[in-house]
Amino acid sequence: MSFLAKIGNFLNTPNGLLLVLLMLIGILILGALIARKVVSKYYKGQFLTLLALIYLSLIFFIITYSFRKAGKVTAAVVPRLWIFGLLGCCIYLLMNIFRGNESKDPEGGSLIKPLVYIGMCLIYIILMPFLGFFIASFIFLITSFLFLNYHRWRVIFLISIAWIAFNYFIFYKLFYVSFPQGVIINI
Amino acid sequence: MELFTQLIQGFSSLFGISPILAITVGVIFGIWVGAMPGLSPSMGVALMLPFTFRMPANISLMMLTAVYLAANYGGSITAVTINTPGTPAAIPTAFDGYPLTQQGKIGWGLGISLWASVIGGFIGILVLILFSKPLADIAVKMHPAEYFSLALLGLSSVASLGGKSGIKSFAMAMLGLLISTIGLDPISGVKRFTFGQLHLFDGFDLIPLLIGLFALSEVFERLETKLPNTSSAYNKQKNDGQWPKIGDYWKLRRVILQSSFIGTVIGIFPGAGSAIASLISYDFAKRTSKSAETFGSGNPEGLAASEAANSASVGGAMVPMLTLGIPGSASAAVLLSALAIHDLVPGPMLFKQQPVLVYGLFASMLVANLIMLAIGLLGTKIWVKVTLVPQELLIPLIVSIALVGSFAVKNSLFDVFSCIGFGVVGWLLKRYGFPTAPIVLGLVLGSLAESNFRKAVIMGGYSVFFTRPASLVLIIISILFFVLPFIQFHKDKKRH
Repeated sequence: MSFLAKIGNFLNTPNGLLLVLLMLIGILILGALIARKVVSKYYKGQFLTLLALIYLSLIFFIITYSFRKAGKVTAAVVPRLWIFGLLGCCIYLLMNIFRGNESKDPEGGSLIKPLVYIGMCLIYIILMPFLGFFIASFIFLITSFLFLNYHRWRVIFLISIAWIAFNYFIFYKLFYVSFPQGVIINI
Repeated sequence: MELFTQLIQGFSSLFGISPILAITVGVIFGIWVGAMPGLSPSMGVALMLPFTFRMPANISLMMLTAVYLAANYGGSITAVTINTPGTPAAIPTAFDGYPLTQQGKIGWGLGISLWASVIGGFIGILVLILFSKPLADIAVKMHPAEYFSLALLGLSSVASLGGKSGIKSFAMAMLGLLISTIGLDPISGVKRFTFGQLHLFDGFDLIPLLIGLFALSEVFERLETKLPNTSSAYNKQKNDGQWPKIGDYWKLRRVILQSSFIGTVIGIFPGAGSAIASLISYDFAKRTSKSAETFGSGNPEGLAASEAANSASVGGAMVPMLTLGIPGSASAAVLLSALAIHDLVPGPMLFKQQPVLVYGLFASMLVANLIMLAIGLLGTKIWVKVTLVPQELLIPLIVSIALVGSFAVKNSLFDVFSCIGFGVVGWLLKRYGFPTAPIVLGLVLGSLAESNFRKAVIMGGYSVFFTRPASLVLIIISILFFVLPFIQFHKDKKRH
């Protein structure tokens, strides 16, 4: 097995995934620091996005070396085709950014509210196996309404209960979707 | 003449309460399944199947076909109202349907999608009735090289999906294609990019990805800015109460007809599916439009093209299913099992031995279209109310629907995490000017392109794509479709 194949083999494991993600965070932090010096502030977002895409393309390319070779067209051929296409586009776009030919980053709003809400969604999913789908969804809906500054309690409770009832009768009873029951109900 | 007689006999089998009731129930259920993200048309047909075991064969098939037909339309409702395509075939519907809602023209979005669906459905069924046998003979001769070239044609539409930057669209399509290779290789069984995760052996499921990239990314984007005050008149863009008039629909006749034709033809090819049909016809409509630059920002032609094609593909998918026993789509595959349950064998003998059943089915599809129109017209009055709901109420409900829909696909929390993950990715990509629609295009077409590319090379080497005339023609058209917008862009740039 070649050196690249060995690295590819390692990267294609759970530990490899952890390393890939940690390196991605590191590269993005480094990229954010370098971006101040090499590109205009108007391209920082695009620069970091392209950096992440190039990094992931290279990681995927290395992983293709670990694919077993079998047959006329191996499992690595088509992914490499797409990787080359992606790398080519990203490098072209980076060159445009360095020359200032690319359109500037679109204007965005504050990142705090979406990030907090994403955190709430993740907590909801993590708690679902413990609290059960129905309890977790009820709590998630109420906290979402409050987070978005909606305070009409009667409407909040009505909608939350209606949504739980809808899921119970349609998804759970009719479509047999096995929602997590939760530790509490199982006890 | 014989055809006409058989069709009359088919229509006569619809006289009675049972057939009409079965079709109506099928349409209502189908619309609802199609509208719900996480529930696909094939799932709807499969869910209805057990209820039809004890029914007579003709009633059973009429009901199931009505579900299939209506589900393709149903996907447009959530695509237009909340930018969440209910089915993959409704992806292009969202490109222009949702901007119409944002402009306060939800009536236009829902009205055009309904009428385009109905007309597209009619044309697909007419082709099914008139040309079943010869079209099936052509479809079954398709070589993998031609399937690959068809996928390439679908990919060539990427340049039209990304707004101003064709290269960014192409990059995102490449990303989508790369994501589609994650999982066990279908030919050699190699674990590709699975990182030791069991859940990734089948790759990422399309539905959670779709929901994340479209619905959740939109939600996160909205949260960046201050939401409108609920004590005021709800959303900024209130529905203007306008609905398209007959003259407005008449202006879309060319797009609807050409897209219906494209949808039917693509639906005939087994494995191609309604999603590919709607994407290709959307792109073709844009290329042949006089106002191509407005596609993606509420152009009714884009909406009509997508819906006409995906509804017409239903008739197309039934062609190989009924004549050869080869399903043209996943839903048609489920219908095939319904035929087997009732001891019916698809093929030329079915047409000879059971003409009343076959032509009764065709007639029921025409009637289902009419019932879908009636229910759609009644239902749009309700869907329009979505714009009156405050965003503080709508956002948590959209997120809840998105997460439940993702879970319902395979009863897996991994899919829910994938949905959120791709929602974040889609949000950040859009934030920095990268379009997300091409990612979905790459995902939809990736497995079709790869499996047929490899089969074609195994069968005939790399030159097979250029030695088969149909494949060569499709490749040339694809290259032209891809390159022409860039040439035009550079010409315009020099001129200015």
